[in-house]
Amino acid sequence: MDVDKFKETVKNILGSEIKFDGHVNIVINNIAEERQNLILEWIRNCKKGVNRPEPCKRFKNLISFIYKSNDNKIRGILTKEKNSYFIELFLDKHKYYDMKKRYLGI
Amino acid sequence: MRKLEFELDLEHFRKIKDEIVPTIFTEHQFDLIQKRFTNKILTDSEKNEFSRTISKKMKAIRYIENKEELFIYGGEKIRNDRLIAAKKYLKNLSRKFKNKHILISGSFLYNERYNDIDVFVISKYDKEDYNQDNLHINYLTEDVYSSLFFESLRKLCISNKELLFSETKEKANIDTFISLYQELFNDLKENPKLAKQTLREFLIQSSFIGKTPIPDSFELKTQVDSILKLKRPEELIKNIFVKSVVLSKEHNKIKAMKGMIDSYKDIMKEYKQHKSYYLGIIRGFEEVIAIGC
Repeated sequence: MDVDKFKETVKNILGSEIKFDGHVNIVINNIAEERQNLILEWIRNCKKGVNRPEPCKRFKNLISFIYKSNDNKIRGILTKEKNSYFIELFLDKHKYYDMKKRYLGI
Repeated sequence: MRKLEFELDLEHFRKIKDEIVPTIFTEHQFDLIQKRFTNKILTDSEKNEFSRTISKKMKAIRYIENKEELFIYGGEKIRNDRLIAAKKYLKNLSRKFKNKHILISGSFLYNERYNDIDVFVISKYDKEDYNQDNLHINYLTEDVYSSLFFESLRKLCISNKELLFSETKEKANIDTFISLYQELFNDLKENPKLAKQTLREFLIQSSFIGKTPIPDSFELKTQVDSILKLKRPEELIKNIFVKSVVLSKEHNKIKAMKGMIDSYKDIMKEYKQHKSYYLGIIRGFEEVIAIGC
């Protein structure tokens, strides 16, 4: 699926307010649909509460869900306000994920 | 400029002591070389003396000998057959990646069984890793030299450049260590295949935080394999976490532990279904507080 469709699906799952960060377009454009669907499945499981969030040390009102692809090349962070809505989906390579992690304190 | 082969046969070196002390090296420098090549920790002034005086003398000797351009670190742990093979690989790779700093490390050097040969190419730009035959080519940017990862890598590897001492600038502290502890617990549950890499990073940071020597590739592999063989690796990981935090000189550790407990208790209210998992993580923070360091 193309990036627009992917983002639209994410909005349908998490709400239209969700923002995107990192090289989401590049990541989604460069992986097969099967892997795109794995990311969407992870997002659905975050929404359902199947996946476990971690606290963000630098933002006390936020929690984050972490995604790692099987080959460890794609990392994702989905942030959510405690007891409230999902805020942002970050998808990128390892290096930028580490920077984002440090920024959030996870 | 030609580079030197930094292989040193310590046994031979000790045998020829009378021939080289004080002609080439002073008694102190001789001891320092022995210390360096048995992976003992050098003080800052010893590091300085090593890089400013000893390295240069050894370099000059190698120039006279007209030897190959390879440097061997942790040689006592490297299998002879692999050393010969690694030298060949490194020579070929040096031709392929012209003027690039290349290192070979990992279990290929010391284990009978290995998955692939870890090759690290230091590059100005970040590039995707790839496999070529049995070689796993990893690109690293130059800032790796001041990382904890490199401090471990440099202890057991073959390099086409001399590895000079560089100060670790990686911002590893109680916060980053807590993050790794959380990530590791999560990986053990969600991504067991990826837990190995996170565990390696965790063990390197635990040594740094706990002020113990950074393990080399062989020591890391042994520790990682032993921990992941356990039925409940979380228990030992928690103990390593507690020990490292207690030994650390971080002044805000109790505050950090209390902050984490509060955060997890908060999350547990919203995610009751994961309560037992969170309680498992919290135990590490509680034990640090109980020790009262």
